[in-house]
Amino acid sequence: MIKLFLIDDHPIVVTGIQNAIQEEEDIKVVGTALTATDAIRQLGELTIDLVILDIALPDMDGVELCKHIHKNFPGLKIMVLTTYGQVSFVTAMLRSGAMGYLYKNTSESELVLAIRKVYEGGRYLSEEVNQKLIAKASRTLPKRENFIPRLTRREKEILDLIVAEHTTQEIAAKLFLAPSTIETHRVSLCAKLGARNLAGLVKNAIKLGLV
Amino acid sequence: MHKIVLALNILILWISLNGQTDIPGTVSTFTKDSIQADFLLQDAYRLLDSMRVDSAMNFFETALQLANEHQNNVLEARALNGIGYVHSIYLSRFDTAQVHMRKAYQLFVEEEQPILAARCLFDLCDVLRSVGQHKEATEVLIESARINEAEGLDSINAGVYYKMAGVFAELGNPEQHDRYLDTAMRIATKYQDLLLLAICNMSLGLNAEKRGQLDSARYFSQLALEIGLQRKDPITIGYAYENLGSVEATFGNFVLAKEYYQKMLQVQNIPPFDRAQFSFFYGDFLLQYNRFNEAKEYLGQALESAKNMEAKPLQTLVMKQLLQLYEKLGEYENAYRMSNQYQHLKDEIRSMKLRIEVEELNLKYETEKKEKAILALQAQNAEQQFFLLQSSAKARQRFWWALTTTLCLLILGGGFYLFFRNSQQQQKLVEKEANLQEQRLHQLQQEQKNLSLRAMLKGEEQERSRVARELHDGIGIILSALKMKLEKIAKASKGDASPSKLVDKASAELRRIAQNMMPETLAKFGLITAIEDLCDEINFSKNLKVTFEHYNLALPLTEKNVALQVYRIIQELLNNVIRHAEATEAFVQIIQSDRLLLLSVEDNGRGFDPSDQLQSGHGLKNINTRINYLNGKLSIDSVQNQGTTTSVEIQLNLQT
Repeated sequence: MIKLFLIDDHPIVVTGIQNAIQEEEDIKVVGTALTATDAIRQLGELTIDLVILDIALPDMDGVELCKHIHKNFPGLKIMVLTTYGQVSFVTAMLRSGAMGYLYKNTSESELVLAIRKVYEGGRYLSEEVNQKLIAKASRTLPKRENFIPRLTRREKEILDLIVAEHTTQEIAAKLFLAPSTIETHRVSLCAKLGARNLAGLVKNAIKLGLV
Repeated sequence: MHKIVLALNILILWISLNGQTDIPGTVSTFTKDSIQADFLLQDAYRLLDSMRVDSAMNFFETALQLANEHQNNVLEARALNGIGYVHSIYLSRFDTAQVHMRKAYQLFVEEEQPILAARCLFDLCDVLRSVGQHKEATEVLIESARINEAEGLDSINAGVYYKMAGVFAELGNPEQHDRYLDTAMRIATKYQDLLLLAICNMSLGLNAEKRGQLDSARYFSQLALEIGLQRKDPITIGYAYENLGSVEATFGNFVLAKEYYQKMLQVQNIPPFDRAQFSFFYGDFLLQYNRFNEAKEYLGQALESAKNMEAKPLQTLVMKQLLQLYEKLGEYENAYRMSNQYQHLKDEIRSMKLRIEVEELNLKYETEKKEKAILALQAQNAEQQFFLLQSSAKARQRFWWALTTTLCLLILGGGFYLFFRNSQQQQKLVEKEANLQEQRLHQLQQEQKNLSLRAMLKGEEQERSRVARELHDGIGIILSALKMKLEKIAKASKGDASPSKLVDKASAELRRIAQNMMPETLAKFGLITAIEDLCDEINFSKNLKVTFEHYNLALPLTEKNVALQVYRIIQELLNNVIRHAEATEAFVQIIQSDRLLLLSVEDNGRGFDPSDQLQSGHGLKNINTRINYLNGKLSIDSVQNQGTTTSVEIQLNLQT
């Protein structure tokens, strides 16, 4: 028997979950709470296998609640059912001990599948969450050492002229820009290339193969 | 806890009732009728003492009629105050009460009756609190205390401060609550005001209860009950029983607690508002002890009466408990309905009436201050300019005179030369001063502009967050439920599954819109993560590949507002790229170099001619407002068919 505990401040969600599992004879909701405080109180009193919680709760942040449950009830499996889709929330919840992450528009069959998977000790992320994590991972910046900053068109243009030993005044005249604008670009180039002065800027630009 | 404080505060009314007869009629010209009216008023309060509300009302109305006939404004005001009082305390008709009391107050002020005006405000406070207008309630109390102090009536102020403490408790400000309660008790001790002391002690007892000090909690409540019984005061008795019941309930003595609560319900001559509260207390108690069906009956009664009286704070309290009850009973449809009503009412009371009003008031006040300073400076400037004109005219005259004299009397020339030079120096000084004034005026104008910009941006953020919450909590949840139902139907009839796919799409879109409106991650994880999330979301849902890079970005925690504005600027710029640029790639960068913050958003889209006002102005209005607010600078580089780079330069005013 899989004993569920639901934490969500919207009763209709609770109803939805109950409907979804009503044909599953080995899954049962043993308790519900509308607030984190009530949940923490009840968790100490009941025997539970799996907690399903939302991130937006009236009295406490879901991430904090997840951490709390993970720390104080180590055997409990935790699954997130939420409307929040941001990757940062997904990673924060997974880091806080959640083993599953589903959106509230999940289908009944997927919900049941996820409950079983997490109960057995596995992880379950809904398809959209998975896609987002993969998209994020494939774009994550490489390590700082061999990182080559990306320059805007204007920065590239100005860097080329600096390396070609033009003064700020000359560059300004050439590009029809105010000298102060060129100065600003120089500041950002120095910050991006990790240089403290013009000499360092030129050196690093050549080293990184930007010119 | 909250509810009991609310209840206790109602008790204070009872004191005001006992004190009311002591206030002398300050009528100067006694005619036979007006003496009669004066007696009528005093008798009316005595009738209220013995709960004969209808007769009291009759007396008040007769007094009002007499006062009108003899055009005695003070008596009229007192009668109006009395009628308002009955409506507020005994009939719980707050609108009528307010109209009467405000009119009475107006008359008291016109007739220069400060003591009576103060008392009227004191009564008005309860009306305002009962309908959830806490800000106004505080205002009238402060005014009332100020008048009493000016009139040397400190003893009355014990009640005023006690009530003030109550208002702050309702506003969730315990420090102020304690401060005012302390002041109230000191005054009550000084003037041997037993009943008020007992009530203050009940408040302390409740605090003791919260801290788990059962004995002191019992002691204080018992004391209040004794005073109530001694004075045959039904309201005090009722609330004292409730207090005792609550103490026992907290410590698990169910049977004893229930006895106290039942005694509370049996007290006769309780006004409808308090009657409703009592039902609520008992229902709440039963709910705590899982006597669901009984609880439902009493909470239902309480809600019904609260609704009839439009006593909104009480209504929300009852709804919250009913919501819990329905949930526990498994009546989810009822729970859902209640949840909606509750949220709605709560929003109405809190966010609209309280927060926004108080904050707007504050901002308005600050802006006004700036406006006044500007006006003063402008006046000063005008004066200065006038002086400047005059003195330069004078200087010209002096110069010609000096010249002629020098020509005629060269010997005296030196002396006149010195005089001329002196006056020139004086003029320079005046000019310099005028310049300084000009600068200050400019600075003040800038500050005022910033204040109103801030008010505008803040209002916008509040509105966005409200709408986002409603989307999440309202439509989002309904869509989820709809999807589950649709799936069930499709499964049962082996029908088309595409409707539920459409609901999925709607949910995803709704999630995206809500996120755009309120970047939850900004407050939680900071600017970098929030922008990463924003880019992720676009990468996921749009045909645009966004890259984000940041260098040395380390906004101090105190710069939350700058972070929010930077986030909004980047969000708007990306929106522009999505809407207008027809780009496939975009690049976002944030660079911090000491106090300089540089933002750029670059795309590879179709580009446009930045000198074309119509095109470049498109979608930039909102961004410009924010950039102005941050004293930033915007520049656009665009090349047709190559793309656009929009850069923003912000000088941070960091406090180091």
